Amino acid sequence: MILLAGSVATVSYAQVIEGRVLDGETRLSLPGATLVLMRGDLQLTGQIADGNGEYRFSGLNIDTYIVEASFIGYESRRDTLTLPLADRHDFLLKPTRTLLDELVVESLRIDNERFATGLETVRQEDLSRVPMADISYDLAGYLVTLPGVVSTGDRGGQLFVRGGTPTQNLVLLDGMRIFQPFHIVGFYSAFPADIISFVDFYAGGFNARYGGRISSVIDIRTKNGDKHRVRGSATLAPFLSGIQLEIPVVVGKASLVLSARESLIDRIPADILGEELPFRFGDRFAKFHAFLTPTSSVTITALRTSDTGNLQGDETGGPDDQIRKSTWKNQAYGGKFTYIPAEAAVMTELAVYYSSLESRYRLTKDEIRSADVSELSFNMGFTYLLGPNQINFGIFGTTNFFEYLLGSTQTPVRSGVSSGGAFFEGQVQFGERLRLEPGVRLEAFARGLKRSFGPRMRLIYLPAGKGSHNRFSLAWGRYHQQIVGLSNEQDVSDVFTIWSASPRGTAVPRATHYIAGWKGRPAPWLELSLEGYRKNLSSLSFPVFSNEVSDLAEFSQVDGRAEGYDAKVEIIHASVFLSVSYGRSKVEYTRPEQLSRAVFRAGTGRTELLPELQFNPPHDRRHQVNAMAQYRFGKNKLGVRWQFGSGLPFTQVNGYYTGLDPLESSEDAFHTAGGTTLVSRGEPYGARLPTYHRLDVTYERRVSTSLAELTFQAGVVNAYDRANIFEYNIFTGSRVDQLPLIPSIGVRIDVR
Amino acid sequence: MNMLPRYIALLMAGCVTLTACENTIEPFDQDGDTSYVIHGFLDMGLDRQFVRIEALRSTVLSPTQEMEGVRVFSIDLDDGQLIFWNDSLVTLDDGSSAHLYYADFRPVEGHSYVLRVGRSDEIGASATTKVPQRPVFYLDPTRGDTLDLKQKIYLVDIQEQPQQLTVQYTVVDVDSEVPQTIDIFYGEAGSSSSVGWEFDVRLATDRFIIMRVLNRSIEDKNVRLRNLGFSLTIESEDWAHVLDPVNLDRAYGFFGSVGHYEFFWHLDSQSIVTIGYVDDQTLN
Repeated sequence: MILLAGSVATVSYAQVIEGRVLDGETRLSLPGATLVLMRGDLQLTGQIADGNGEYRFSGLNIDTYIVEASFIGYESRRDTLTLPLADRHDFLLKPTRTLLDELVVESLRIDNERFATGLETVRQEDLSRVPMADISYDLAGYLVTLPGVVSTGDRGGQLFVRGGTPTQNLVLLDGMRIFQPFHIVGFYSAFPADIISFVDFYAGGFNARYGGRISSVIDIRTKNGDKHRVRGSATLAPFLSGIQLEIPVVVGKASLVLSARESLIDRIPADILGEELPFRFGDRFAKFHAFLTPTSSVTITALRTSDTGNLQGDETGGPDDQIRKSTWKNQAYGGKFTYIPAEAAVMTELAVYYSSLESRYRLTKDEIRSADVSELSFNMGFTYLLGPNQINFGIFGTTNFFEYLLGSTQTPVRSGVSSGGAFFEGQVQFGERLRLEPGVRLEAFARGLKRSFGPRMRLIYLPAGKGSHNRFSLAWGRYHQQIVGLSNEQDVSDVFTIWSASPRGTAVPRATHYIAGWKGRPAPWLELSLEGYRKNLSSLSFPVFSNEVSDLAEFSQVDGRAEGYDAKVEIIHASVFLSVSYGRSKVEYTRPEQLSRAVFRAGTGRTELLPELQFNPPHDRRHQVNAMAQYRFGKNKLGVRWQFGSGLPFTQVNGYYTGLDPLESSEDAFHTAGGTTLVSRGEPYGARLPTYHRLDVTYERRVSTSLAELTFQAGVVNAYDRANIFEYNIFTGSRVDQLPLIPSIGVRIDVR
Repeated sequence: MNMLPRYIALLMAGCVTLTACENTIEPFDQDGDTSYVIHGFLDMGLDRQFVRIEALRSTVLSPTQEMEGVRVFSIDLDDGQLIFWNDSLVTLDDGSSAHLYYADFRPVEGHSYVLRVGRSDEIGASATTKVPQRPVFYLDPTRGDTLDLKQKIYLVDIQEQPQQLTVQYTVVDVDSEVPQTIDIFYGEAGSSSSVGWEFDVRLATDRFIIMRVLNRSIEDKNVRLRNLGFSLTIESEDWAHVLDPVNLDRAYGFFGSVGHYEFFWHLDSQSIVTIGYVDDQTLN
């Protein structure tokens, strides 16, 4: 008996079921696929396939199990497996795409495994629901439909998430940090939607694996290329055209994805568009992925983007030497090695990344500012699977370099900072109803900057267990941001940002997030969600209003609070998709009495005593509505999207005048001195711009041939030609509006 | 559900109709109470006063606003004298033009003035200044010897740096018999003290300069000292707030005043002999 018991003890709880979930036709991995482990009719546990489509159930007895794999757009598959298995078990799912043309029946996924408040997981099919002036859709175009995400306009590439500023967002592309992730035309990301596998968008409350930012996380995972055959597609559209290739480098083992896009909008005559749109942008992407062994893989990713344009649009609006021009270039390179040892329930990831951003801002013919930032980082992460529980921890190290030059008469300023740290996060399942996800992040800096300690906690409650139609979640976390981006937030057409380490002698920007959410599905075709949040912000740097027109501002330290709630209704039934969301929010900053700070060594202006002030910053949008609808009929698709946003705060002016240097009591030079143009302003952000709303309509028709699938798109942006203001041009006294009614046509070819 | 697409279309049309209004922006603060810019100062030493006045422009590139209908006048608050200022257009160094107002009067020391700008149908702007009072001064006895004789002078209740400090020596050259006043510029000499402002008159050092001006040898003891005094310019308190003026109402810019004063004293005979003059002083 003892021997028998002993022999049972040596083999129990040591069995593993692992493998990949793949597209049965293309053999492409299906990240995000749902897997459920059962014994008989009893559901034991479930999980989501990772970014490589991998899954793993560990700690199992020698027994017979049933594993069911499912993924949207595919037929579910249920396999009976008797342990011990001789090999890994891959699931090849058959796509049900052919059925979708005739009778689309999509039911909303009960994605309880990934449900968490503050988190929105975006997949390719979600992107395709947003009507865009680009036949290939875009992540940026989708993100602005989410409640709580504010864009100041269709140019500039600035996204504000639940009260946070663009420089407080962490954007990762396969782990590479992207400093400027959106193109100068605001509804385009710096990378094509076609390469996206899925996106985890945390509007707040993100867990410990993410750090260095205090507002939101956009974690983009790209798909691996087809390892069995060459695939290609090309799109031609007025805003953005491109080409993409997937090449099997080693059949079944290694693939290469290549993508190139370039804008055409500045080449289209203004007579056709109704106005000049002097924007030029483009991006290049490449990804190599290879399975070294069945349990290890390597990925090498590269991204380059370029943008240039005058955000005020019309280049004839003022004298040539007053025409502003913004230019920036992103570069990002990354390498990642992933290994899952057969003997242990642990996944190891080793990665090295480099990214940089070069920005130039031409204020006048003679005044050009430049700001460069680069980052080199390494990460090592471990994921331990302990049955229904999971532990992630890792270490990381980062070196940042900064350089800026603020005018032809200034000298370059260079600096750098290194940091290192560790994070720990866990998923602890208490029965079927309750899951806790504690986490902590520690980071230490060279150069005497203060260490940061960031605890995190998330709670998920499913009242009826895994099949629950109601899900509740709470999230809390403390966040710090040592690397800050400083910009002139007073001027919406000035997106020039200087990155640097948080100035010495000042507190590091911090935030505490509180989020509570509920998601319910009263019917298979109907999903409701409601989420409330509050972000307490402290030690933010905010520019001080200067009376000089083009002055580089002094900065003050402000505290803030962003709070609100988001509500969403989503219907997917038969051939109709409908989504209506409403966001209500309020962002308020408080500036205590203090001396202003000349953050930049070359900054102009004087240190002054600033009175206490309370104001709503320029991204405080109180009400936001997004309504989207899509209707499929045969091979046709009609999409409609209507956006509404209440007016953003801005500061009125009293007027402009000539200021003279301090007068000399012994001279009469002031009689004829030229002076400097100064501005007299009203109450800071005391007025509101008009409301913003816009209707976009697209129509698509798909034509299939033996060689390729063609998709034709016709659409119109701003269908009723609403004049939505972008800014007021202080040089000419005219308003600069966002994009007018613009018709677009596009065609996409997917080579089979 | 077949009706759903129609409902969607109706919903969209409704949204558009409800909100297709109100699209104007008011970039200017209509309640703003500042509409003029004043740059200038009253100068006690001049017979004609100048002030540059500008109305706020609506854009950065707008030309200088017309000042038609704008009246500019000053009032002496001590004697009630009202003076209207005249408009003139000047060309600035950068080629643009500006309105330079002028008035012919000489400000009186210790008097307060208010400058008013505006049209008849508006509140307008104003600026006030008080011309500095003539300070009281007193002297310490001289100190030092032939080569470094000095005398400290105190300006009572003057805390700010006086400008254009100049020591004046009226001497008579033995050859010409014509009195000659030689100014030695001290600039911004001295320092603040509990009494006020103090500075040293460098009697011995100044003699070197004077003898060089007269083309005389330093050993020559025949030059006669007739008068000794100093002049300076004192700025009104407004100059302490040049960048953040407190004397402007509904205006930007700067407005102040300056006083010019001369002082004379009698140097003791022993000191005159010590430094090498002949005492020929007259009392002013």
